[in-house]
This record gives sequence, structure tokens and C-alpha cells, in this order.
Amino acid sequence: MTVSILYADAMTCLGCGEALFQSLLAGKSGLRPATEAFPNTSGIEHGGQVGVLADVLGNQRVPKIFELAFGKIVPDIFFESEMVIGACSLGDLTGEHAGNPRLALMQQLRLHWPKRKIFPPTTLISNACSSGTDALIMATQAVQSGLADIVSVIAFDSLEPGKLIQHIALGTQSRDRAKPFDANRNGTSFGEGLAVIIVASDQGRARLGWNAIASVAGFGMTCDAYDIAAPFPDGQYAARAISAAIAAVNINTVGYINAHGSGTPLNDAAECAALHRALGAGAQHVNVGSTKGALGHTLGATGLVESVVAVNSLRANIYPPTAGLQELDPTLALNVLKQATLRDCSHEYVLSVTFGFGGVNSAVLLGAVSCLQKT
Amino acid sequence: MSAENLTTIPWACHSEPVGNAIKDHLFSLKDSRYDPLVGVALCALRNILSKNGKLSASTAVIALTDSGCRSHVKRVTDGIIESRPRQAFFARGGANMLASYASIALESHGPCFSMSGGADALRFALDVSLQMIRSNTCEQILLIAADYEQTDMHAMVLLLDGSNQEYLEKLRVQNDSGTANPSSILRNLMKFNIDTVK
Repeated sequence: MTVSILYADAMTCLGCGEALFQSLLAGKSGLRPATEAFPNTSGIEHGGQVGVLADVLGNQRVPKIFELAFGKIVPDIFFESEMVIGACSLGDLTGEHAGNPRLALMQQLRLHWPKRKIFPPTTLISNACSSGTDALIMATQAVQSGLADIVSVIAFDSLEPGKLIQHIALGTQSRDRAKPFDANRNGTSFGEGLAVIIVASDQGRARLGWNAIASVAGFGMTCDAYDIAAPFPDGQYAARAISAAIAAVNINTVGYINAHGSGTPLNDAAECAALHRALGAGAQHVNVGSTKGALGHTLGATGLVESVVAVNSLRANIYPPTAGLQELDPTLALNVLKQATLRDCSHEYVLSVTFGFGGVNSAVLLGAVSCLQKT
Repeated sequence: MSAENLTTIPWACHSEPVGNAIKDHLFSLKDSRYDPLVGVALCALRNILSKNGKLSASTAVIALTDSGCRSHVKRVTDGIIESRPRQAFFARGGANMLASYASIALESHGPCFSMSGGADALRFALDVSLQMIRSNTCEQILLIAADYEQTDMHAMVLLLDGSNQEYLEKLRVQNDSGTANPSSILRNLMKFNIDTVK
């Protein structure tokens, strides 16, 4: 069954909509020093750069993120959804919904949902940094199983100073900035954001009268079952998720991989190994990019934010460069994009990959509208 | 529903903590810094294994919870108030740890994720499970519903596969009451359907 994507947008430290994608193509970064983002906060002096939203202040951030999102990127057809699937890791760690992002989501949806519209069944996927990707996969399954014809996915997460301090202590936050796949990478740059993707069956699409902008063409999910915080070094289980996502298509038609590319030494090495296992010789040629150096690692939102970027690259026929990458790690043997690169006419698909704490690996294959027209 | 009632159903197990029972799951884990609720879920998981033996290495693990890993989250939020990093609790405080620790205990590499919510989440999880079995995404699925209920913790585990697919299709989860968590809904659901299951 065809699962169409009708709408995709993200709100990030580099803006939203067309302006966001143009900034990515120009190689810009929305990261700024942690000490500037969180002034007068002790413990973040070595926190490098972060990707926080300019208009969001204080420790309790999720309500403001939703307020901004409903004003900027949530479309009217969101309220036609027969099901809403949220995605978040932990959300705010301060305030009434500290560490319970489902309650935060329900509060915000009820606040913004029009009284005349039926409030749909709502579930939240919490799978660390793969939450957003997994929510999109679950939405696809809901449409494929006939459970719903129109499903909205909304992924969000926040970065408050206290959460940044935890990541600094864990050693995952870079001392300077995220430099995905770089020889001198030393961690990621955490951030925050919110993304929305709306998927539908043919019936749902017809009911709304909207055209598809892309499709969900495949997906894969696996678990390393190895370590809570570190990926399995040789990437064999992540490779299985990638292989499952691309199983139904010719690998030569996959033009771009939006990698997890967090910029931590362990992640990028394991991800490279996974791509080589899954793609074989093709791994050295396919265009690979990461947006962590531009948008930051938006935690539970990152998978959906990056799927939005991948969808936009299909629509605009151009793949964004990898902000923050200066000198490619010579041990990685990947074609990591340093400059925006035009999409070849043979490229019908793009892949978005995310990994998360707990050893979870997720991959979703997105198809161009031309693929939909063939089916 | 008591654990005794469930002993007649090979693919359903319930667990409540008694004393140190949360450490008595018998899995050999190199990392045991998990939330107490994860320990209760592992006990229920051990009960399932004792009835069914070793599971497939591609078994999917889906965790369902309303409360999540409340104890670890509290330690982190308290730490933030005190300006103390609590990184070990932070890294293990997500609801997905209910699924991840189960996958690690089983050495299972299938899909592994958590859903948060009440009846809506349970209904969706059952639908997704059926879809995954029908599409051969995996042969077996462990559905772990675990929650803090006031001062108690409960975990209910179902082992789903092609053999109980027909039964699952008939399970009907009523509309979200807004208060019940997936673990208690599932316990009541199984109790209501106990004769059918037998």
C-alpha cells in the first residue's frame, strides 16, 4: 500500500520552511555558544555550541516550543488527523511534566485542538534519539494496516541547561561543535526543535484534496542489545535496519543518506561500518550528509527533523552539505557532502538513519513523487 | 488478576516486586543501573522464558508505559535542582529502557521501542504487533506493559506470534478512560478473556 507524505516541516535553530532548507544548502549553522544561549549558568563553560530556539527561554521550554510551532509550522490538515503519534525522548526535566513528554504533548494538543474537531487517539513513541524516525515508521504501519487514513507525526524535544549538563558529564556533548565524520570530531552539539510530517493513504489524500510530496518506501528497526550508551562497534545490527529499509529498491536509485552523523567518535565509526555492511561497494559512492553541525542534535525530534530535510532534498532536487565538516576522517571511506549537490535524475529515494541510547537503530526510506506516479 | 491465574496461559506473565525480587530476574547483565520498574519487567520476562524457552534472536520488544522510569527521572530532576549531574540515571531514564534492557537480557536484535499512553497506546501496540507478525517483520514480539501504580510497580508481558494471532485479533481495548495505564488495562483485559485464552 502506498503511504504518501502530504506535509513536512521542521522548526529548528536555523528557522523553518523554505528558509531553513535554503540556509542548509548555503552551509549555514544555527549553533551558538552554550554560554550565550544559557547566560549565568554554571557547569556549561565547556559545553561548546548548542542548537536552541531563539525565542524559547528558561528551563520549562516545551510549552513555548509548541506555541511557536502551532503558529509557524503546524498546518490546518493536522486537525483532520485520525491519529496523532508524538515522539520525544525526555522533554523538559523541569516543571509539571518533567520527564513525562506524553503528558506535555497531551496538554499542548488539547490546548490547540479546535473544539469542533474530534480529538484523535494519541500515542507517544519514546525511543531516545530514534523517537522521531520510529514515530514516522509507526505512522506508516498505522496507514498500512488500515487503522487510520490520515496520521500526523509530531516530534519534539527541548534542551534546558540542566539537560546539557547531563550530556557534558556523559561526554557526548562536544567541547566546541559537532563536526560529523570529521577527523577531529569530539562529540555532538545538542539542541531542540519540533517537526511535523503528515502521512496518508490514497483515500486520506483524496479526502483532504492534497497532493503527495513524497512517500514512505521502506523502513527498518533493530537493536544492538549491547550497551545502553555506546553503539555496537562493527555496526552489524544497524546495517540490518538499513538493509531492511532499502530491501525493495535498487541501491543505485538511493541518492542521498541523511546519516545520524552525530559527530561522536563512536557513532560515526559505527555508522560508517553499518553503511559499508549494508551497501557494500556502493557505500563509497552514495551521497552522505549530516545536519547535526547545522541544526544540532535535537534529541527525540532529530529523526523527524532529518526526515523533513530528506523530503525537502527530494522536492528541491538538491542535497545539503554537512556543516561543521572540515577534514573527512580518512578511516571512514564515505562520500560525505561538503557542498550542496544536485540530485541525479536516477535518484528516486533518500534514506534517513538514526541511532539512539539503548542501542536502537532505525532507518526510513523516502521516495520521490515520481516513484508514486509509477506505482 | 493474580499471577496464579496466568500460569495456565503460556504466553502471558505478570510480575510484582516482593522485597528484592526486582533483582531476582536471573538475567546476567553487565549493566544493572536500571530503574526499579525495569527490574520488575525483567522478572515478568523471566517468567515468560521459563514457560517458553529461548526466544528467536530477532524477537521484537515493544514496551508500553504511562509512568515511564519515574524513579530515575526523579533522581535526574532532583539533581538538576541541586545543580548536580546525574548522568547514569539520565542515560537510563527514558521509557525506552523498558524495551532496551529486555533486548539486552534476551540478546535480541529485532525492533525495540516504547509507546507511552493508556488505552490508545495499547490498542495501537496490538495493531502494530499484528502488522509486524503478518508482514513477517519478526516471528515473535514481546509486549511489555509496565507501570508505577502509586507505590507499587506492575509488569505484564505477552509473547505474541502466529499461534495467538487469531486471539489477538479478537481482543478489544475500550476507549481511553484517561486514567488507566496499559499494564492495568492489559491485566483486566486478560482476566476478562481468561476463559477464551484457556
